[in-house]
Amino acid sequence: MSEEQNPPPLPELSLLIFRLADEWFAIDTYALNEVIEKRPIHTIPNRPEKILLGLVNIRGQLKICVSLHILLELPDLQQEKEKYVVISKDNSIWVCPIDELLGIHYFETDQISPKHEAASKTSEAYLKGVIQLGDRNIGYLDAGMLLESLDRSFG
Amino acid sequence: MLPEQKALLAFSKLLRNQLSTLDFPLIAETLKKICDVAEIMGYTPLKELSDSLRLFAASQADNQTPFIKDQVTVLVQITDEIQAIAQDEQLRDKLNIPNEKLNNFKVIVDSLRKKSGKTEIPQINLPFPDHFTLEEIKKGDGGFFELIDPLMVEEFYQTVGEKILVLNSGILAIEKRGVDEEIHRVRELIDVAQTIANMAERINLPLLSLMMKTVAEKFQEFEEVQGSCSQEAIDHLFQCIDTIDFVRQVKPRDIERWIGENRSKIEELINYLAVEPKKKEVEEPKPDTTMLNLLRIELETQVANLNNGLIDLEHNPDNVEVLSSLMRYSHSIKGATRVVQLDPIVKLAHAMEDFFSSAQNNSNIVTEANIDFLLQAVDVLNQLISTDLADINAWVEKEKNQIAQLTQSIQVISRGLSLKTGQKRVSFPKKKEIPEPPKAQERILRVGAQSLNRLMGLAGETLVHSRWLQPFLDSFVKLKKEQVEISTLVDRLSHAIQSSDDPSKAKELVKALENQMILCRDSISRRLIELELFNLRISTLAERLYQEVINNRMRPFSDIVESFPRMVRDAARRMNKKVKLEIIGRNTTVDRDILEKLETPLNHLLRNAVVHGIGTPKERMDVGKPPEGTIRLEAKHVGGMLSITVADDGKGINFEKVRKKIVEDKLVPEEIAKNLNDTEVMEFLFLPGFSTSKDLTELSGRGLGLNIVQNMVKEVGGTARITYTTGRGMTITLNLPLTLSVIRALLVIISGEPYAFPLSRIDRALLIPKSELKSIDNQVYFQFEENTIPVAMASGVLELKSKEEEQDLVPIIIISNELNNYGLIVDKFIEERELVIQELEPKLGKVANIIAGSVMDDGSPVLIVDIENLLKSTALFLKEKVEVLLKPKEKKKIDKPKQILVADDSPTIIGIECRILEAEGYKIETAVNGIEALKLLRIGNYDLLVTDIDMPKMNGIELMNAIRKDIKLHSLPIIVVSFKNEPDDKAMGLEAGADIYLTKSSFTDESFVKAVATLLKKER
Repeated sequence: MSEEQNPPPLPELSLLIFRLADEWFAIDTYALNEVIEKRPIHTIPNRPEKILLGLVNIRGQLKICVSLHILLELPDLQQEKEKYVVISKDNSIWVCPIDELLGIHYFETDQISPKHEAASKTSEAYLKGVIQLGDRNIGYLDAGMLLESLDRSFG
Repeated sequence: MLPEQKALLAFSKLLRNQLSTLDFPLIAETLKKICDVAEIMGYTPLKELSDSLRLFAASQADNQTPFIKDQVTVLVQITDEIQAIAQDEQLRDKLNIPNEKLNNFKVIVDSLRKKSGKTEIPQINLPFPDHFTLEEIKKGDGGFFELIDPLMVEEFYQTVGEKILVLNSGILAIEKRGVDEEIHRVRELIDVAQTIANMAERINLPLLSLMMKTVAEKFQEFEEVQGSCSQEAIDHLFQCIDTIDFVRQVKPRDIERWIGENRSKIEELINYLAVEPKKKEVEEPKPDTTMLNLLRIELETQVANLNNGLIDLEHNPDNVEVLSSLMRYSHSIKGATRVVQLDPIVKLAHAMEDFFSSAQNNSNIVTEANIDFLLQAVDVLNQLISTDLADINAWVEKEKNQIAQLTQSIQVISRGLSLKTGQKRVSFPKKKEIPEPPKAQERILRVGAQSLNRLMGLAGETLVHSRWLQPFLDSFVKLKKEQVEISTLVDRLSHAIQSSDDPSKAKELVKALENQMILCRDSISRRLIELELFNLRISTLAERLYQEVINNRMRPFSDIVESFPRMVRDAARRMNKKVKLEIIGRNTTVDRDILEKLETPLNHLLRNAVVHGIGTPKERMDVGKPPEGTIRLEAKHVGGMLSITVADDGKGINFEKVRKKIVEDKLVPEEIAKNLNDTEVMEFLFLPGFSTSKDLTELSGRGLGLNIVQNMVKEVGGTARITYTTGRGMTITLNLPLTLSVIRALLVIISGEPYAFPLSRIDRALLIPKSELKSIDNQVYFQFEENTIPVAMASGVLELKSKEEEQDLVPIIIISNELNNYGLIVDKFIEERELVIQELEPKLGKVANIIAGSVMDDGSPVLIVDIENLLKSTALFLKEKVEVLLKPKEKKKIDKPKQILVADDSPTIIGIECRILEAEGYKIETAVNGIEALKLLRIGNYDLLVTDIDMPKMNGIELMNAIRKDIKLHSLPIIVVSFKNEPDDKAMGLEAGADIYLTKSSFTDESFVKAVATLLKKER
């Protein structure tokens, strides 16, 4: 028994890293359902809310597609998005188009540095902290807060 | 005779012989063969029995345990039964029917097996007695029993011998399946134990009698006290039974001694049983909601059964079959409510059961009055069902006294005493109809186990088929390699042709190339065939899967009809009428959603039929009809639609009465009413608040009935039709779509995205040459048949970006309601298609103009428009927005129809006024209150206002005051049409700014038209 080595400890955080506008973000994979290829988004008539992009078919079910750019108050320059991330909490599922996908990366908790106290931008209000990956500064999104705020915006 | 039966017969004879030698290994072998034969025949009960028996025989062979005589008796009996089965001519038909006898034998054998191997139960060991036979008693060797009638002694011994197996197998069954499943057995056991106790008493064995009494009490407790059946109790019961079994085998002369020796042990046993906690009173655990939920489901079924059974019973008081099924239902309710410890209800159900049981002997007690009491009890159960799960206990506690009173009443009437209805009528406060709070939990649907199995099967098959793709993919990789080989050969060939003069080399390469190509071609065509087959299989499979899922949405019509017979019966009884309800097509399948919506309208229709349609027995007999009226409720599938018919053989429609009522209600003046034809008169029946019954009763007369029906039918896109024969009844037929989950729709493109218009709700889809679109005062119209139809851009109404596309032919969809037609311009028509409806995410909230979503074949989303909503939005849009579709030069000045706004809160009045004015060529818009009217007036361009005084939100006076103050509107001509015909009212109206004041009672077409014309002329 003693010869058996302890398995290497699992990394504490597994995060999906993606880009919105020119900022990089990370979100916990537990909030992530899947990443899908781009597909038609059907506009919803008589609904002028900017955050509401429309409806997307996820395995035969029409799910709400929202703009994280609008939520985080980022400029949305590139119109056509190639990938959408599907995030969920309980029964609510949201589809969010992203500008670029980096993939899933693993981190330890101590790799997260606290965000700047004076969070000036709206996007920073949704951050739990900041992570360094290579030369990229990545905002670690508070998935719970993000989803809650989406839920609320359609209360 | 089945061929296997011959084999069975041979084996059973063999078994019989083997039993006499008690050669267990051989017996086991024969039983194995019987078991195999039973399996081949597909006769499960026999197979299971012989299998159990074989195991028992095998264990006997292994253990060499002492063998008791009974066991042989059982084996002989079973052998006889098998022999009987082997000779049964009709066996073929019985194979699928459970065989009670065989099952019982199996339980017995199992119990024998258990006993032969049992060790776990803590034993109070009693010395095993010497064997003796009944002959000894008969021989007069009575011993202890000398002074007692030997017949009684014999009877005791025999009874114990007969019943010991019943007791053993009964307790075993209870242990296995619980008291509730085996409640019948518990009853039987109480009787048996009691009988044995009595007999023991008679032959002077008081201790044994006491023991058996305790046993009987214990069983009683099982029945009455939920959860009293503990493992410990069962073990002790087994020991008591063993004791009595031992006694049977003690020689009579030794019995006193034997009992004396074992007295303390027996007393100990009795104490155990008597002292054992009756019920754990400490901290009554709240029955969890799962149990209550199950209870509710069970009660729903049983209550419906009870209701129908009771009504059946009322018609046939002597029908024993009905009575016994009623007994069964109340019994189930008793059992079910006991599980969750709703004691008052348990007692109520018990009283009901008693009533039915005494009714079997004395059908005199089945009277209408008494049935009322029982129906009241059913109502209590019904209220219980509708009470929120969490509040059930509280509700029962609150209504405890009422329920007890009712229970008592039922007990009294069961004894044949009469109680006047009403005298002790127990009333329960009606539960307030609180709309269920929206639950976060998804709703639960019941799906048949078979269907679920089929779905599993189909899903499994889909999985298997999908695995076929992997090897297919691999073969394509191989094919690609072969293809690469071709390119290599071509390269080498071209190289050879260029560089060498050796033609044979090139030839060789060409040959190789040809071979390779043939190889490739073969492999491609082979794969193509495979793929075709796969396509065939997978599409059939998908179709079947889809159908199965759709079928799951369907429920039999019977799901909602169960409450109707009761409702009709009650209504008829209260009206002193005799009515029979015939329900046809209980098994007709209907979409769950439609079924849900149907219940209320059908309730109204049936009630109407009882109250208005069917006459009193006297009235009916006067016109030569049987005193009992018949209402027929029928559901069937006709031409891809669901057709529901409610037909009565009553009076039909009394058109004179309706006309009179129309005039009384001042819906139209008398002269108009006189000229309405029958079809028009019937239209009034569908109006809200219209009823011909004289007074409002609880039953009917609020006049909402037909209106509710109409609304429901419209909502699901169906039609309602009344057919009637005066004096011979009325028939209402509802034609509804079979399912709400699939619709046929026209797919169009609006603003570059697909939308679907339900086919049932669009009038026309046309391609109109652009030149036919006329623009008048910034409004676009086109002429279609007799109508001038206003046109709007669909993208505009839906607030989408419009696509500027020049088209010579404009695709227009015409939609309409009773009052208006509109044309909507779309980008393009695609096609007609069936769509599976999907509710939109509830999180979105209400999406204007959209009723649902769907997914197209290519997976892209499509939205289904809500026509009703769209009609309203279009009307508003046309007023709010000035449409510039055509270039100014194309505009042609034609005489524009005068626009009149009609404001009234009664759709009937609006309808009448519109009809009159439209006939005169005016263009009409309508508003149902002052606020709406004012809004329309401000954004629109009207020449005249016709308004009522009494209107909700803003009345006519306030409206006129507002108009006269408005800069733009102050000079608008106004006509008031009102019920108020007191001089004061008129003065007030005129003062507020009315130009002409008409009262509804004096209202005629001519006076109205004249008034309108005068004012419009003046304006010009």
